[in-house]
Amino acid sequence: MILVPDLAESWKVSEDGKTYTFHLRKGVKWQNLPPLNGREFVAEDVVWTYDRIAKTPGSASATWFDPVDKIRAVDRYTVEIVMKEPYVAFLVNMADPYAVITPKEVVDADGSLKKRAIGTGPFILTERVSNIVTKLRRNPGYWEPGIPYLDGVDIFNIVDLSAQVAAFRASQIDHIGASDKGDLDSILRAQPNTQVLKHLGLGWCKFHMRADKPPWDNIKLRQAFAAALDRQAEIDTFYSGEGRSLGPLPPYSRFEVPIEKLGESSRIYKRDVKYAKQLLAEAGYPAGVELPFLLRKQSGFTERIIRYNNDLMEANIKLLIKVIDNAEYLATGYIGKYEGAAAGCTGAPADPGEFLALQYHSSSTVYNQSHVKDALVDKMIDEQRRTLDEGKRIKIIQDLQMYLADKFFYIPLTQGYSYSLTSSRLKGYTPTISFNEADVYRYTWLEGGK
Amino acid sequence: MRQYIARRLLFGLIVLWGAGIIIFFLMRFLPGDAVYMVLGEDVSADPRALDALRVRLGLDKPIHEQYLVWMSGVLRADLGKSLQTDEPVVGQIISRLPVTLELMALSTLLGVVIAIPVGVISALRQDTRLDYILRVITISLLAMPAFWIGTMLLVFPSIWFRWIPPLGYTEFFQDPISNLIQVGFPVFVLATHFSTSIMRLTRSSLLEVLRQDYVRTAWSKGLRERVVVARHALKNAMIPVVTLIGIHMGRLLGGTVILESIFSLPGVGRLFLEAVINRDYPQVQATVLFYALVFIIANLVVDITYGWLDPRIKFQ
Repeated sequence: MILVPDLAESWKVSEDGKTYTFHLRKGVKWQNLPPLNGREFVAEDVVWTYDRIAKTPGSASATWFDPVDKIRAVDRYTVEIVMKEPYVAFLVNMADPYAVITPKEVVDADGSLKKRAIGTGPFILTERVSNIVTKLRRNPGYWEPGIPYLDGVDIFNIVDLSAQVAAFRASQIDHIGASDKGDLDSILRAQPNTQVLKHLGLGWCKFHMRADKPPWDNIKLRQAFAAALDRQAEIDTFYSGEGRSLGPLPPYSRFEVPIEKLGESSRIYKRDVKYAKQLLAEAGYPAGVELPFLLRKQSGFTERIIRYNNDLMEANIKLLIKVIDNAEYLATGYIGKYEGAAAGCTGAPADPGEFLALQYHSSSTVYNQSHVKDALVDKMIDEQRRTLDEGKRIKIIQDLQMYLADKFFYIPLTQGYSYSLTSSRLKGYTPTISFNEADVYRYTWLEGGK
Repeated sequence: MRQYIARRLLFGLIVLWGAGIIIFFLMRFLPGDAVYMVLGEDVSADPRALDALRVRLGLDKPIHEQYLVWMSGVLRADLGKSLQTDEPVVGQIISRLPVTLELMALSTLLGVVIAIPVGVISALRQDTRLDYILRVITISLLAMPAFWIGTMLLVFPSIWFRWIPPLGYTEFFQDPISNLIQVGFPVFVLATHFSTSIMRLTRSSLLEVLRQDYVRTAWSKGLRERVVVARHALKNAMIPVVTLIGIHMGRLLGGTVILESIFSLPGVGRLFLEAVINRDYPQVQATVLFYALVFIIANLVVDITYGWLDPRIKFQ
C-alpha cells in the first residue's frame, strides 16, 4: 500500500506514533457550486469532517476515530491529530473514501449529504438517476493545472450482462469491468484493439460457520470440510486457470503468507478426499454428515458454491442447502445472525490489520461472521495495531496467519483476476483499489479529442 | 353512464385498497431486513445505530401499526419516502413515468395496428397458404420469451454492425429521433408479443361472427366484402379483442419491468425491480398501487368501449 499525496501535500507521524501532522495543499477550492461557491479548502474543513464522522454512531468509519484524543487546526493549512494510543492503520484509513472531506455548508443547509455531492475533486456531479446513470463534468477549478483532460464521464449502470458487453462492442462505452474470462474473450473477438488490464482485487470469498457452537466448534470437521474442496477445479472452471487459492488473509502483498508456506497446514488447502474422510472420521462422523447451509443467490457466486457441493458430497459431507437472496443474506449470514454455515465474499479494507480485526477479533460485532473467540488471536491483533515498526508488524501478522492456518474459522476459497477493459481510444487509465469510481479517470484522456 | 363510471371508480378504490394490503404484508413476509439494505454491505459495527435507523424508518413498530401509519399517510396522499434515496416515492414514480407510458402507448398502438389487419386477413383467407404462414409466424413469436428477443436484439446488432441504440433516454420533445431509436427496440418486442395473441383472437372471433345469420343476410343483400367485414362483422368481433387488450395491460406492465432493465431505460419498471431487490417497502407499495391504478383505468376504458362497439350493451 503506497499512499499518494492529494489534499494533504505531506504528513508527519511522531516517533511515539501518537501525533499526526498533515500539511494541506494551498489554493485548493471547493467546486464552484452553491452554497460553497468555490471557497478555499482549509484545515477547518478537515477538523469539522473528522469530528462529524467520529460523532455519527453507525457511520462505517466512526470506529477509526475511537483512539483519537483531539483534532485541531494548527493554522489555515495544518491539521494536528493527537491519539490516545498508537493506531498504525490510521493513516491508511484516512486515505479511504469513507474518510473523504465533506463540506460543512451543505450539511448545515440540507441536514445531510444526501441531496448534493460537492467536493474538491476533478469532476463535478451533474446528474444522478439512482441505479441508472451518473453524469460527471469537468471541474474547471480543480487544483492540478490542466487536469482532468476529459470533459466529463457518464457512468451507466447496465444490469444485464449481455447488454453491457453489447454496448462495449458497439463502442458506446469506453470502459467496462469483466470478471469472467468468457466475456473477455467474446469482447476481444469483436474489438481486438481493446486494452486489457488484469488485476487481483482484495475480495475474500469464503465459507463461514458458527465456530462457537456444535457441530462447527469441532476443528476436525472444519478441516475435513476444507480438505474436501477442489480449489484448483474452481480456478480452472470459473477463471480459465487464472486465479489463486486464498489463505487466512487476502493477498495483502507484504503481509500475506501464501498457502504453500503455511507449513503442515498447507496440506489441508489441497483437495484430498481420502484425507478429508479420515479427518471426518476423527471428528466423529465416520459415516458422513449432513449440515444446514445458507446459499446466497448471487450471480457468479452461487454457481461456484454449487460446484464445491459436488466435492463435498464425494467426501460424505452433505450440505442441506437453503437458497436465500441478497437481502436475506445481508440480514443473516453477512452479519453473523444465522445458524450452521454459509458462504459469501467480503470486500477487504485497505489495511491488513483492519481486516483481521473485523473478521477475527472477538470484539468485532458484525463482520466476525464465524463468531471467532480466541484469546491469542485477539492479543496478536491488538498488538499489531500498536506496532509502529513495519517489519515487526509484518512478523506479527504472519505469525498470526501461521496460527490461523489450521484453525479454519473461515474456509477461504479462491480469487480470480478481474479485467478492466478499455476501448483503444481511452488512454492513461489506471485502476485503483479505491471505491471512488470517478477518481480513476483523473488522468485519462481520449485519443483523437472527443 | 356517469353513475356507472362513478360506481366503477368506487370499486376501483376497493381494488386499490386490497392490492395495497397484499403488497404491504407480502413485502414484509419476504426474508431480509430493509435496515441492512439501507446500509448496504457497509454494516455498522454499532448495533445501537441499527436500532436508531430502524426507529427513524418506523420499522421498529409491529407490522399492523406500520400498516396503519402507512394507510393514514395514503389517505392524506402521502405515500412516504424511499428508504434508499430519502426522496418522496410519488416523485420518483412521476420522474420515471414518461419512459413507461411511452413504451406502453407505442407498443399498444403498434401491436393493434399489426394485429387487427393480420387477424382479419387470416380469418378471411382461412386455411390458405397465407393463413398458415401468418399463423406460424405469430405462434413462433408468441413462443419466444420477451427478455430473450430483447437480448438478441442487442447482441446481434452489436456483433454484426457494432451498433446498438444510444444508451440512456432522451425525451421525445427534446429529440424525437433519438427518442424513437431508444424506445424502438423494446417497443418492437412488447408490440410483437402483444399483437400475436390479439391477432389470434381477432382471427377466431371474426371467423365465428362471419358464420352468424346477420352476416349471411348482409352478403345476401349484395353488400361489398369491405362493408360486410368492416361494418357488420369486425365491429361485433371486436368485443372479446378489446377485453383482451385490457387484460394485456398487465402483461405489458410486466414486460416493461424486464425490458427497461435490458435496454437500460429509466422507467417505472426498473424503479420497481430495484425497489424489490432493495426491500424499499414504501417504493414497492407505491409502485404496486400505481400499477393497479393503470390496470383499473385500462379496464374501465375497455368497458366503456363495449357500449360503443355494441349499442345493445347498457350500463347500469
